Amino acid sequence: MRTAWLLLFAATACGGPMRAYPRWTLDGDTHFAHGCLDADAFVRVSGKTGVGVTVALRSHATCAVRITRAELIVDALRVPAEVPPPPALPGRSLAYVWLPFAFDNNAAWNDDHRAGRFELELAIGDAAPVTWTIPAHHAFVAGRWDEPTARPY
Amino acid sequence: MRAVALALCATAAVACTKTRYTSTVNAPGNATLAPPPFENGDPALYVPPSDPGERELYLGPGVVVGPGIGRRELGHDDTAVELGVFLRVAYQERASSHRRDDLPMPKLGAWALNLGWAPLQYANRAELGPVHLEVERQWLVATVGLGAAVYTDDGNAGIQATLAAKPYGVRFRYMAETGFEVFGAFQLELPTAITWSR
Repeated sequence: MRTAWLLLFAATACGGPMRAYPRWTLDGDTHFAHGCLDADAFVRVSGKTGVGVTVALRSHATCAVRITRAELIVDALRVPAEVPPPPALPGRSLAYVWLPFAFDNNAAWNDDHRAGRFELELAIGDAAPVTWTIPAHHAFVAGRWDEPTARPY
Repeated sequence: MRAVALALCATAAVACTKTRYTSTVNAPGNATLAPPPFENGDPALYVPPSDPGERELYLGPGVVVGPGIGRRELGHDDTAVELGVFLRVAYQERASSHRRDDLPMPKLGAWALNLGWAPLQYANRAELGPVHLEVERQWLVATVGLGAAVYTDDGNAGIQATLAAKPYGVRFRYMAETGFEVFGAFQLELPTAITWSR
């Protein structure tokens, strides 16, 4: 009986850090400036069913901005995001735009499709749309285990 | 007291085996593609995914040894010793993923398959023991197994049952040609597992 309790004690005494999850991370410069607009992109959600990106749009002056196309391109796969209605940016203002890229991210991970790029096409004012490309990759950020001291967020 | 301390150290050494291989298959977590509850433009803001759980193939190789009676009728002293090896296999799904150093162990009430062979059985001479296949049910360190055993040298076959509160155990056999056997079954097992996410 004592052995059983000791085994149980030892089994529960091991433990250690919890499992960590891979996530899409933007590489390089995530800032975009063009005309009256400054923009920054952030990955907010990443999981089996896709990835969600927030784009912060800042205007220097009243600015008419439309996102005409948003895609995540991973090898031959092109994942379009549902494009939101144009945000209102009067004067110097700030708006956050949510871009959900829904796809089988789990299968892409298993098939080793773990690098790609986000392409956002923005129409600013009456000018022709410009394309903002952000390279990205899908990986564990701080290892396989969620060490409390290594938590990146 | 010294014995308890020794047992504790030995048990801890066995328990934190780090003999679990965790695959990166299906590694992404469960996420809902909804905007975060609040947005402040902080680059560090991130909504972590939830745990999808995991699947595990438990593999427990081990050795079993014990004294017994019944294999040979040798008169007044027919005791024997049997030394065997075994492999326990169990598949399970868990709602939550294990922690890095958790001891691999079939969950409470899990079913397992126990395949074994006793390469040495010694009564008045060394000879081969039986091979066996048991279906087991496990509750922490306690197991109950029932299956078949066959002596490969003479084809003597029968049924086998093993009751254990590990590392201690007792094994019963009823063989078609030689009748009942009872052996102690002191078991030492290396808990090992292959785990992948759901």
